[in-house]
Amino acid sequence: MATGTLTTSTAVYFEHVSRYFVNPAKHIQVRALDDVDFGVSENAFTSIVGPSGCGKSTLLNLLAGLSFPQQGRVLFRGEPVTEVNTRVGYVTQDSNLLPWLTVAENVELPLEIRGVGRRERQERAREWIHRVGLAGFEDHYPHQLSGGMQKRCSIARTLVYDPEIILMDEPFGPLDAITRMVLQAELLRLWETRHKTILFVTHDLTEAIALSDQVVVMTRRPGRVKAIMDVPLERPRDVFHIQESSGFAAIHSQLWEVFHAEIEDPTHVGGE
Amino acid sequence: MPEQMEMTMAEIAQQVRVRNQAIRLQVIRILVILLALAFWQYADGRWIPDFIISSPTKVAVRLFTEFKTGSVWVDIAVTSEELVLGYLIGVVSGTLIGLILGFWQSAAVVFEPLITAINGIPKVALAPLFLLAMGIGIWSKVAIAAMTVFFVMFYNTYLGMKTLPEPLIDVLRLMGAKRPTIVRKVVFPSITPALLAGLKAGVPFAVIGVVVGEFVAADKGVGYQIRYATDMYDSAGLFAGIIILLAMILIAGGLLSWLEQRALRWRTK
Repeated sequence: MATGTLTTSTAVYFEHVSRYFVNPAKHIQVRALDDVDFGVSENAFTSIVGPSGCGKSTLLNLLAGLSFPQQGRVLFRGEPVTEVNTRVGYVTQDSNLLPWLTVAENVELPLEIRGVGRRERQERAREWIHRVGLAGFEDHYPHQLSGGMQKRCSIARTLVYDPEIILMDEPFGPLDAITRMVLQAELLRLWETRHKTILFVTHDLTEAIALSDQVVVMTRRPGRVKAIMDVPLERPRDVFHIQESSGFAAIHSQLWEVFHAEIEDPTHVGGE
Repeated sequence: MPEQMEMTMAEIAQQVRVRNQAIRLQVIRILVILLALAFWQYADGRWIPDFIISSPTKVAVRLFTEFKTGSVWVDIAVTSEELVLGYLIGVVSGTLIGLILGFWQSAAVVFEPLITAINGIPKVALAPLFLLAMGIGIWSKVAIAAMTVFFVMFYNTYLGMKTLPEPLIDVLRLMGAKRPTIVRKVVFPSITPALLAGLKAGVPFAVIGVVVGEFVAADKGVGYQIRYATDMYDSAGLFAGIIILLAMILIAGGLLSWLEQRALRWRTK
């Protein structure tokens, strides 16, 4: 766990990373990522956008140390990721709650694993359950919650233990528009107070612009970095009125120009 | 649960309908049983010789006198002891081997086909071998029951281990959980339904094992009494024994259902 020696403002670097999957039945190699090379600044909010199946989730898995590239390296604070990276908090696309634990027990779980005492654990979990709007559901089991509530529980479970870097894979995908904006605002507020490095995968350009300092646009499979764009909108931002803020329209159309060329049929947008 | 307090009239009416339906179903079931008993009573000695089917009243009288004189308690005690010991040994060994082979793939590759091959042998056919090796006391019956239960538990545990939810395990690894925590928090809870299914399925298997052992060679036990009654053309005694066995299975099944409901609260409702 010793870093320190390498002080750099780059939190994460994907260094010429290629990753392919082999389909043994058909002897086909599926190339998910092809020579991806970019860095993520410390304390920055970075979004990754791209068409379905362009390897966005694969990137996060590589950084989490759940799978490894065939070529290139993934550097986390200067060190290559060679095993499960316990310093990242990962909100996966599926909620992945433990079905036999209640909401409160699920949120307390990472704290329990990290040896936090019972009272502090309960307090921090309660705070986060409240923050994601699940107060009153502490004793419910996951199957008693809607998909959106499960998602919120899974977000609380990751943020509660304050991991060094947060990876989020379309965390607000299944939520209704209102809850989505409320949680975006909450995430921004949190990020503005603590300035954590966040890597955020989405296919919603508005969301990417509203939240990020930097948007990485990926090509369709095999995923490559098509463009990296800065979002110079001033902070703090108001996600509820972001589309009316000056500069938003320009950035959106610019991003859309880059993005829509990667969609096979540009008339069908959205929907992973 | 709070939402249950806010029921509309329509929901209450619906609940009443469901309950009435359930009561009607129970009444029909009881009628069917009574009808079958009446048919049995009437057929005895008229259509079917008494030494084959006896009659409900004769069986009831027999059960009453057996419990009154107390002779039957010795047999119940012996059979229960064999059942409980055989069941426990089978459950513990089957679960352990299932867990070990589930964790340790290289051992599973060697042993799993062997276990499957042995499982192909009808266990009942091995009963005489156990009696030869272990005598006519309780241990030969314990061994037969343990063996049958072993296979049930082994397969349930092993298949449970093969279908562990990998994404949940990854989530815990990312949180920094070590293996023992993962076993406690994910592996055990996720194989619990399979284990409980094995525990329930194991009961009748244990009974079969014990009773077959007692049929082949014993001097006590419910199975021995059934066999003895048969030799004496005593059909009332035979049915009395069967009813005692049935009661034992029902009690064990009831206990396990209760356990299952407690352990799987997270699954439904």
